[in-house]
Amino acid sequence: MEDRDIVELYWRRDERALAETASRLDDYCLSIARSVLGDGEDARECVNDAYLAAWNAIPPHRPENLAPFVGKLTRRIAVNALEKRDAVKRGGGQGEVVLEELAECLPSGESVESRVESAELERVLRRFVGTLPPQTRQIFVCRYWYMDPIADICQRFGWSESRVKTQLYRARKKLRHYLEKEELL
Amino acid sequence: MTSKQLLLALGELDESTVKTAHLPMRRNRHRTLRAALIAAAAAVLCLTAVWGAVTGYRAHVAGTSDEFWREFPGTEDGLSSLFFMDGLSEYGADAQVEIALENVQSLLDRSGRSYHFDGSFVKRGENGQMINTAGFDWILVGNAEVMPSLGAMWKHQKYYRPDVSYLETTLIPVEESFLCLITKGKGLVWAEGQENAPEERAKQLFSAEVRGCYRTDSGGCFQLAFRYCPAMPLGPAWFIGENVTLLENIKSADGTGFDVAQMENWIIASAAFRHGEVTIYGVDTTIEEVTDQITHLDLGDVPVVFSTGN
Repeated sequence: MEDRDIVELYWRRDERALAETASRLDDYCLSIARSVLGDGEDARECVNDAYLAAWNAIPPHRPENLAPFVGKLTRRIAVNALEKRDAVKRGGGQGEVVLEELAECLPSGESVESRVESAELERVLRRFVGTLPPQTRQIFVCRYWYMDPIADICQRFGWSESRVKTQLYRARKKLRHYLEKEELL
Repeated sequence: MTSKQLLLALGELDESTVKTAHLPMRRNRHRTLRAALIAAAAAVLCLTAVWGAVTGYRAHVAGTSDEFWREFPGTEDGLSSLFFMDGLSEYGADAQVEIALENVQSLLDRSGRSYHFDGSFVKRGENGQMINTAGFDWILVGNAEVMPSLGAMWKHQKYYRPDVSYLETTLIPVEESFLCLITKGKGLVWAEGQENAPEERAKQLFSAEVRGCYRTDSGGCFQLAFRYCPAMPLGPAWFIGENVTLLENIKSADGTGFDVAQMENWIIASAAFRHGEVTIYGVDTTIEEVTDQITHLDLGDVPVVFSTGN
């Protein structure tokens, strides 16, 4: 069944949409959730919540590509689930590590609580990612969208670990400068 | 703004960007390439193992600087020039071969050698003998620079020369008929059970000439400079390296940032050679990170040349 057919089921409020989505995207969404949260029940619950969120979001949305759409929902729910867990429950996911890495892009010390408008930040980040060279963009997205472990990225691109880390380091540094230039920091 | 807010906002990237990043095609291509490399390495190992058994060759593996000099007596006061390069293969896949070659040639020109560099420092004579025409006493290079099956750079079709054994350039001509192979413990290349492949291969090519093999642990060739260059006799030296490889060797303990002390060590190691040059070039990005750190160091009279392919 094609994406548009599944989306059509959602629009008709046909519950087969959920079964079809799970059939096609379960591994994909589970891998995203596990990247953030690690193995465990949390990841499974997160994917189920994502399916429910998709059910609630379509309509009004009509995504052309279902995988990234549901993937985004999974990721968002997984990231939000991070802070609900205490350290003891951490399951070896990349979420905490990635949060620490991204903290490098922010000013040290949170003395000034500057709540940035999410929509503006999202727009700036889209523009920033567009400025990265293609391969850097890919590994940046692999790391900070999919939260792939560094080792997996190395394997995917055939690069050494140090090269991947160096590229990510530079990208984070660029991101910080970009956010400063856009006056978001 | 918090890092979580940033992480959530990154989750809203365009779907096409997200989808493209995880395209499986590239991964498969690398897997295929790696499988081919492993198969080729295995084939070489089988052939050379037979040869090694016949000749009774035994590789010498030294672990410390002292052991190194014991393994190669006579080199203590013989060093007069060194050419050192590593990390160039990082750019093979990016079609930056021309830039890498130009940089090497440029450094060679500045070293006063009239030598045309076509990917090898060593030529074969009419009778098949090896001739060190480059004029350096020592040439240290990374494995990947010289073995076409191991490094992307020399796999580039235009520069692939089946008539030249690329391992030759890993061999360091200290004096006539005395060669030393420096190799590294790259896990991808020398998988379990294939650890002796470079030595065996060297034996196959130069059975009477190779007197031993010095094996470092993992990491770039520059690590050798860190550890051993200060112990080497003075002489002019030329270093060339891609900045990623350079960074690999000066990274801080957590692997993410720069360690100025490490950088200083590296420069001091380089400065142990008189009248040499350090050339660092980068292709994919600027090398501001390096220059920021390096400019305040006292480099003595050692010139540091930066160039980028951008």
